[in-house]
Amino acid sequence: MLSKTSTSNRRETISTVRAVEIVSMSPLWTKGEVKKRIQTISKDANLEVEVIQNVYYPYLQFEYQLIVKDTKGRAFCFVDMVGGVEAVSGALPKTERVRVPEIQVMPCKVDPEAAQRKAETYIIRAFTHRRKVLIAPELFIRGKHLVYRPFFILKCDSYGKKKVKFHLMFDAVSGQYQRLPLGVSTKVEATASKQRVAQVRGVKEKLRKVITGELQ
Amino acid sequence: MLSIAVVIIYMLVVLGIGIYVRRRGIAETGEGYLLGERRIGPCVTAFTHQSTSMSGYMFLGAGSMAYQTGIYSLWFGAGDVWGGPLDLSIVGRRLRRFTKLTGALTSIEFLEKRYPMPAVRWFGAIVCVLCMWLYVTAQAVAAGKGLGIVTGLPYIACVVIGLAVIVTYTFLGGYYAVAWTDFLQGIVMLIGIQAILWSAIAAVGGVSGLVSGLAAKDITLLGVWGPGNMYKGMWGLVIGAVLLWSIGYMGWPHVIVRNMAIDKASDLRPAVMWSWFYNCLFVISPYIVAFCTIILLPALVDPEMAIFETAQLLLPAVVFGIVMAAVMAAIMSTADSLLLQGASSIARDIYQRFINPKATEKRLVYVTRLAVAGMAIVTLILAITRPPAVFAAVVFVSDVLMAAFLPVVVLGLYWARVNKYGAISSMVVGTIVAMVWTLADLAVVTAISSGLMGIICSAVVLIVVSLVTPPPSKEVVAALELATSLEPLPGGIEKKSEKTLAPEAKCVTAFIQERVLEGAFAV
Repeated sequence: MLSKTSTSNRRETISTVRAVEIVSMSPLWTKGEVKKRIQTISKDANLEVEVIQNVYYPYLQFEYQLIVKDTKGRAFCFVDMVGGVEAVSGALPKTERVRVPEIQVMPCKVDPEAAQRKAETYIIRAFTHRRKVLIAPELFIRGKHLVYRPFFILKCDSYGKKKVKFHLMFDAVSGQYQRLPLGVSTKVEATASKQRVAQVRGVKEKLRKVITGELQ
Repeated sequence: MLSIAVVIIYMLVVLGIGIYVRRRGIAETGEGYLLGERRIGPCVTAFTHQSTSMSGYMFLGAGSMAYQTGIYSLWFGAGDVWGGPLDLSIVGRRLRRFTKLTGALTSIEFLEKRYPMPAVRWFGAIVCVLCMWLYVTAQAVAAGKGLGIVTGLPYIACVVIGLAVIVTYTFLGGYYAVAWTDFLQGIVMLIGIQAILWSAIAAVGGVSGLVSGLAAKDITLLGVWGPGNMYKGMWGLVIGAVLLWSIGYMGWPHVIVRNMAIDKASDLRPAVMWSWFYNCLFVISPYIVAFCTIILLPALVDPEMAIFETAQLLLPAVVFGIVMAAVMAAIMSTADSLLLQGASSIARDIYQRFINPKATEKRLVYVTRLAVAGMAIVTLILAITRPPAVFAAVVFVSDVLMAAFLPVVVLGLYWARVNKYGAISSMVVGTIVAMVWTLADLAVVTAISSGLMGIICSAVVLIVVSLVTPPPSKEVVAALELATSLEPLPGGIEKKSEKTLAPEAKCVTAFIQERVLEGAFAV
């Protein structure tokens, strides 16, 4: 009885949840292809794969023009807006505007100005390291966009000799995946996250301003 | 001259590893600097595990003990053979998973995650830092003595050179550099000890020559109770000796941290095999060399020099250089791990936990590097002004660490009922008992070693206090259950998973868990 009530509450929550428009990287994998790929890799005929959720992960994408003496070039950098990890990229991915439930969109936790500083430091370091030069390039920002990477959350159950249950997150753009250690009771982490809500709200507001150009 | 060249080349290579790791940028984050981004393979893990545990003691202390007590010393060696494999098998998998799940970066931080109480962290950190300090000082003394023999330089200059090399690569490359230099050092140690072992056995006329030589000198040297049967019937001491180097590994913070840094929990099985391979070839060898020294150099003034002197007597210059490099490797591979462990505790367990909780990753790495340098300076002063006896210092520190941490680590990973009240009481009692037992020399009176007594008291207190106080929180139990229930993934799923997605996976996990608690998602 209790579980029925909680399930109906959950359904109600999901049905009343707001949809938001975001810029998402265009997925190259469908749910069917994802299931097939995991089943193939596992070599386990008894493995059941279910896509239980979609999650949209935020990145701030920077495009820079680099000038070293008379040479010009372009560089792209992504900063993970939740964990703050940065990475350079050879090109920009294809994107599309989509409307998705707000609960599937991960909130940004990194200050956009801090993200920009990280991106610039990272590009300069990567450039000087790769080219083995001492002169740091001059950087001119040419574009800055918040894009979301779509991930499928997979629940996998193996009913073979060895019964194993696990969760994976599958990158719908690159086809790469990673295990999710889901199952730990996170009362403590949830409390901590509530304390971070105010900070996240502040970052969101700043981000909106950056994207709309108010802060530039 | 040739032997000096070999040692110099060896030192340049380990420095090169530190510089290479720094340039690769692995040691720039907290996890990168303290745990090598948790991507150390099974072979390197096994070798760093062994070379860290087998310090200058193996060439100085073990040699000295074997030279003075004969076959009795093999009780210590017998325990040592089991130490690494036992730790990797019993503690490894669960510790790796639990610390990965909870984000613990040091062995002391693991204790606080398992027993959520600030006192556990600060007490553990203080005991750890002080023990690491004394231990690393003993290693610096050993380095000074060892380098002095090869180069002929004064003791102080040798201590300075030895420490400078260790500090440089540890400072630059953190755990990743330490693990890889340990791997190299492990190989050098193996080559060096085998070179001297076979020439020493040949010099005494083979195994039969060794046995008859020892019998001629003193028949009781061949007995298991020491010269003149001085330890006859002292089973407490014997069990303590075996325990010290076997299960003791599981209580040493600088050793168990190796389990936390391995790439995958499933890599621990091959790591155990590598550990067996290494121990079978290495552990007993220094003891046998020292038995040969009893026959070859019967009137040695300083027994700690037994292996050095034998090597100098028997080997050509280049091979002697390799042996000396092996001795330096044994010392340096332990000293770097001790320095890093002590510095990690200062930076992560004391500075970031209690002084500046908002410290960024960059700041954490900076403070750890400062702590490495600071510890090295104090170690240098201690090694010059008040050098401790290597064997006594190593045994004392090992006993205290074992008594303080072994029960809380092992029971904490296997029994959900043990709680924070039991843990702090156990750590305090274990530390005090082991220290008092050693300082008051109660081992001789009671025939029970301080390590064994410390472990017994510490384990009893942990169990009793935990049972009479409330059980641990549901969160701790859930994390422990998850750490022990995460099964290896079927087929090639684990192998083909993308490691670069790990930071995102961590954030996505936290996000989904929040949504689950809100009732928005179901998993």
